[in-house]
Amino acid sequence: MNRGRSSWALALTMLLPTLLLLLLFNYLPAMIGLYRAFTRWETGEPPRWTGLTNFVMMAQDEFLRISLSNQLLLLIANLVKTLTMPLLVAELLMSLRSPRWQYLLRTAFILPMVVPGMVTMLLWAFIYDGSIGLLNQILELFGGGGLTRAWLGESSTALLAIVGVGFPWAGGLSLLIYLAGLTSISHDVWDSCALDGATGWRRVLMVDLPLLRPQVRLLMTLTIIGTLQDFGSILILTGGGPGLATHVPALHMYFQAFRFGHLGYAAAIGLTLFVVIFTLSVFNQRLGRKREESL
Amino acid sequence: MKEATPSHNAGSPALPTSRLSRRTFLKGAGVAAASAALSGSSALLSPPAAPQSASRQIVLATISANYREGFEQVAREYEARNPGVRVKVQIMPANGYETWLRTQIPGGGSGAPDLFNANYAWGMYERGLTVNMSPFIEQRNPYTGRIWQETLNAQFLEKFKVGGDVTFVPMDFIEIAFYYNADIFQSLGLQPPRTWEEMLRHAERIRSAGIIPFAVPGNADSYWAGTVGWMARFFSDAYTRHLVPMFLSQPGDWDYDAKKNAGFKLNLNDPYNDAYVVVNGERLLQAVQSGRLRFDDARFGEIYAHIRTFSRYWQRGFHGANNQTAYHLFLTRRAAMLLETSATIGQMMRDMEDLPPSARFQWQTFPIPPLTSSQFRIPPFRGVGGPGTVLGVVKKSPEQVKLTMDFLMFLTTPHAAKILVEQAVRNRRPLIGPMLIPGAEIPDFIRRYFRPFEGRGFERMSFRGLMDEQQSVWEWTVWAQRYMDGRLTLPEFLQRYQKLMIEAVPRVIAMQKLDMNPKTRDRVDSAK
Repeated sequence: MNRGRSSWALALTMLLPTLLLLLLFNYLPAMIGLYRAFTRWETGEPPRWTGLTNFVMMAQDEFLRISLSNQLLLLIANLVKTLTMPLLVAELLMSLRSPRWQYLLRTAFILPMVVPGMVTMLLWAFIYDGSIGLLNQILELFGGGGLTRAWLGESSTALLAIVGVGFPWAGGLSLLIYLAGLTSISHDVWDSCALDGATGWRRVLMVDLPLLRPQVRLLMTLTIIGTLQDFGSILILTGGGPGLATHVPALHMYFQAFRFGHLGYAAAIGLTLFVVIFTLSVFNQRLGRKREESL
Repeated sequence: MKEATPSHNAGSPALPTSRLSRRTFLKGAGVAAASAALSGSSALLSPPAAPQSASRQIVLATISANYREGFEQVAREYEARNPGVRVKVQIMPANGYETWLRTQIPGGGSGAPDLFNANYAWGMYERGLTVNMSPFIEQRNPYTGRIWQETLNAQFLEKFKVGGDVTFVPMDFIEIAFYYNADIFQSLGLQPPRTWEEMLRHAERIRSAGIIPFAVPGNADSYWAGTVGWMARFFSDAYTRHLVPMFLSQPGDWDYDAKKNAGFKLNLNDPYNDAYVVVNGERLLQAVQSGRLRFDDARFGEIYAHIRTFSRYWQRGFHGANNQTAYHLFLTRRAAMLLETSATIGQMMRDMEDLPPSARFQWQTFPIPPLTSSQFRIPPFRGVGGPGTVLGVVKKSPEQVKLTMDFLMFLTTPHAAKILVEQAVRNRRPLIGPMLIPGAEIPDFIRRYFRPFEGRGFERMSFRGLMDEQQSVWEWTVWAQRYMDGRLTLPEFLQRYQKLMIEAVPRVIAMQKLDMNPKTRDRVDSAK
């Protein structure tokens, strides 16, 4: 009993510094932000309580409204990217018979994760460049000169170009999670499938995918959070332009806070984003669990 | 340089100038420490020591990396004259600098610098975060023995006043002009154009030869604070110069200065005609509010029609191009002309040296040629006269502000300006533009490139957004990009433009705490 109590105290003592820092740097600013979303707070001025004014402004904000449709398209595209290519690669890797090749190829797919995100974005900016970009040069090389574009510079292609960043979207965390999920499936299950004649894609669809539901659910949640929060790549590649072609709510929040000095309004956008992300994540988790229970 | 008033040059305690050769500049032969020779070389520079106390620190956090060695040398000299004071020179990356300032300065505390590049944080003064320098520049600079503002550029001080207050001290300025590939021009039998229309005819010839006439960055940054933004500015200055009398301070206004405004007669032929007159911000806002100044009228329509026509000669997909892409097109001879700042001269010289001989070419610069085809009487385009290194002071304790001001006075002496230029040249760092502090000699081989950038006067009013209120500048960027992209017609764009300017008025009023009565002074809480 005493031993249990002392180990509990020891654990608490060791956790306490981290907890305090978390409270100070994560929870406290979030709480302050929650309150300040209901204030008029401009750079250098004390916040003044204004109730729901910021949220009314949001409803009337034309730029925010346009950014929502861009965001929806990006979210759908990112979900599709996360749920398809990494899974395909994971399945292909698992189907390799040679463990040595499996290991080598897995490493090759994961290795690009060490490249800093900023470098990746600058690299893609070069790939998409309308005058000297790699993509246009490749198109011209293969006789597709008519298809060349200033990919990030034309309203009709800029958002698609943002979606295309990272092609073939196969590496990174998603792949690792799928691999972990597939590794945890017992070989007996696959052997039984083989006996029943379910091989190849049939097995993937009928057996692997249902068993990978927890991983899919996790990746969907992470993708929703990551997509709605991320504006860094857009800021680097297009700055939200041309016009509003790639403008998203998180970028709008950043501009409001750090370029225009409307901190209260930015906090309101941040709070709304939090509510949306939280709701979608909870909905996704619950929906996934219900399906698993019904199986 | 015409904009330099006689008082700038007269009587400055000039030090002997060692002229630096091209070879010295390009080879970067030895960073000779000039501090020994310079310290104590002027009697006026000697003691009037700053308020002395132990362990006081001044932090200069700047992105002006070209003056790195110069700042360090001036800082060490200042420390030697003021025992107990430490000057920390912090060279910052330009990327993220604005965000850093906008978080550090309002936060106060030890993270905030004392001196910073003020043009990276517009609106800070209006929010009471930086110091009103007006009372200080009227004082005697102990290091020159003269009233401080007499050795500063009066036109720049006037141009960038906020609510009648001087909010930063300019050290040099950055200007724009066209760079051109002289080899391409020669091969096509072209001369630098004398009119805007001739320039477009040249562009047509160049395009027929299979070369991109103009390399233009057109991303959001370019509209916001770069090439396309400059175009909108010099066009709107030329098309609205006739309106300057409408916004002038009138007798009875709090900022009326009879010496500057009483005898003013508009002369569109003189680019410096309105350089020193006092414009009242509230009168300007009233004109926008009442519709006496509209942005959807025929004049603004013509401005944007001209820019759109001009864009036909830019590289395809310019909206996706940044500064580096445009520069690369010019450097690789794929584009014949480039609208760039004076800061590019140094980079161009270095890059030409680094290129293999077969890839090098002759290049030159020409000023923005005047427009001659308009239904209105349009004066020649003036420069946009962007601030280069302009230093603002963060509001801290009165003692700290006093100390920082004392260092800034030292930093803006002709002696210090000379150090900055010499060290930049010795260390092969680019000079971003002509100095605004007298006393520094720029080597002739650089100076000749600077000439097309000088002597054109500076815009007085620009309407790429309202009074540089950042939200209106961004909104203008959005709609201007959509117009240039063909997503908006000219009337649709002008309608948006008018709306965004009207909507910006209350924001500017709130930010500057204006009562909209030109007779009363609405001071931002700044002069503590």
